[in-house]
Amino acid sequence: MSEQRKLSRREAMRMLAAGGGGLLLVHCGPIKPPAGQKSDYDWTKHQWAYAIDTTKCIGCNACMRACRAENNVPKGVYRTWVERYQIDAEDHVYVDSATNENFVFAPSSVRAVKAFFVPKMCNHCEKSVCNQVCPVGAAYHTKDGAVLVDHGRCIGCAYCVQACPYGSRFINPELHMADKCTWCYHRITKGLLPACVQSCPREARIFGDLADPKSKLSVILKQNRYRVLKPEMGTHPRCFYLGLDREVV
Amino acid sequence: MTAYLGDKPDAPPGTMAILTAFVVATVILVAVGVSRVRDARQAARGELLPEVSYRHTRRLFLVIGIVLGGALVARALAVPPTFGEFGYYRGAAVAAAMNHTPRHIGNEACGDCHPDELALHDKDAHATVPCEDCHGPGAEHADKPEDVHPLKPKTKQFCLICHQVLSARPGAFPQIAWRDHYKFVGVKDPGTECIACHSPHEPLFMDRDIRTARLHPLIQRCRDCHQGGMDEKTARPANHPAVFECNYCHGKIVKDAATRKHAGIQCTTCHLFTKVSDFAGRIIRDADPRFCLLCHRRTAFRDPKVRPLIDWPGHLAEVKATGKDAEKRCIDCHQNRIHVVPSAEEVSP
Repeated sequence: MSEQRKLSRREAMRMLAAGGGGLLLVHCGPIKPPAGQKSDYDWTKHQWAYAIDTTKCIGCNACMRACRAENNVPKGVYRTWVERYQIDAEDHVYVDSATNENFVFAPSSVRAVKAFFVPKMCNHCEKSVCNQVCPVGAAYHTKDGAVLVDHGRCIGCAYCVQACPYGSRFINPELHMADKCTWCYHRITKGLLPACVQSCPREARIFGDLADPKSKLSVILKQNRYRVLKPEMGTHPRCFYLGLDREVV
Repeated sequence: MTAYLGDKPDAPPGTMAILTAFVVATVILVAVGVSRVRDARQAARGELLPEVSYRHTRRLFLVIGIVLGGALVARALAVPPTFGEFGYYRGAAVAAAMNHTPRHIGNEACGDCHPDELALHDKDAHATVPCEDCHGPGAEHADKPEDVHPLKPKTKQFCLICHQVLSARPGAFPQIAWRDHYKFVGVKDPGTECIACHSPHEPLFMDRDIRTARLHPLIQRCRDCHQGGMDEKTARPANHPAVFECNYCHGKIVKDAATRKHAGIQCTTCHLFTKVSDFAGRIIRDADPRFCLLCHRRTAFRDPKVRPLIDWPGHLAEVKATGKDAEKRCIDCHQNRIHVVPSAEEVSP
């Protein structure tokens, strides 16, 4: 029997590395085209965004009623809501929302010198915090700019609810999963407006396509002064506010 | 509601299992292949090729293979098939998010069956209020018009959702302190609903579309007239008004109106004026026959002594109006109760 050469440890490691490299090559298949949906909607051709003109809002909360009806939002949780800011002569700021049965603002006892309504909702941030903290990949960003929740995947851990700097997410008490504004993704992909935008009687809510420079939203953002909520968070919101007061957070 | 669940079930994880088996086989084959190539190169260089035994490493590779294969199979079972299709999420979730049926159908869809109501609605002050804000989402009603009926809110409380006076509402938005309003127009019963006078589809009986109403220049800033600047030392003449009232330009009509039956009425009660910008406002109401009726129609709650109350459309039969006469506006006969008919120059001095 001739001398046997044993496979050294180094050689065995090399083999494993080569095998691992092969595995990686096999795993990284080609990226599939994005429009895998059944409709003719092409999500690579749109960049949706939202604008809210706070100077027009009358606090009728038609948006909240429409959202609840359109998306079956349970009682006690809100995908969008309207905040009433009242600032008195001593610069005290009072903020409330209409959370009663039909979302009706009652006259206030605050002797306000400045008062206005601010509709709030998910900002659909380009660099969303909620997506980053999801442990199961149930929070995701569509190619056309919406931040959505996968209700076939969410485990209801509520990390995203804590992470959102805008308080836009909640745990749906019926699904026991995270829930949030979807920009009515089932509507915008059919060429309709989100229910809140369509229901606004004052056209205070504007929805449109940043990819189309002639869309109403693009024109409004070009011609008006606007800002976003909490820009210091670095989330790059896709929800732009017109006529926002410095007190609004 | 579990409307989100089960919209589109995932495909069975068979493809991932096949892929996993393929990956495991590749790992082993690549490892063996690398070893053989190395041996062949050594032989080509003329090096003495000892008989190599792999027997002692067989268990090592077996254990690694089982662990790796097991992990990959477990991953294939745990990870949904469409995961990673578009990004770090389940690709099928996008289709699920798109698959709900919209419940709000929009004004145009309402107008397919109710064109008359929509036409009235589109020319009056509620033109921007969607049908479904008051009547509720319309998809079910559109599917089964006989079985599902839309909401028809009739209470004052419903109107006040938008029109209650609130300090936070924009100043130009019409806000009603309803007790004051009832007192002003002579409604005695506080239980009277708003829709007793105001049709929700045409609340102000406007003659024309608010968006196409006549633009009226605002005359309140110095430079509107004093082009080229002014000497600040110049004192304002005594007859120079701080705010230009209607009579500054339309003095003849205002003076005449004071002698007529409607003497106590402000110009802007009928010629409702809204400020559109810093440069212009709109006169959004001309004399529509029904606009007069807003005050003069005989209804159950009005005190009959307050003002001449008109039965409408009974009044047309009363004056034997037929044909073209029936289309006349109130002011075609009753202009003398208001003010002289202005000539074109007087309207635009």
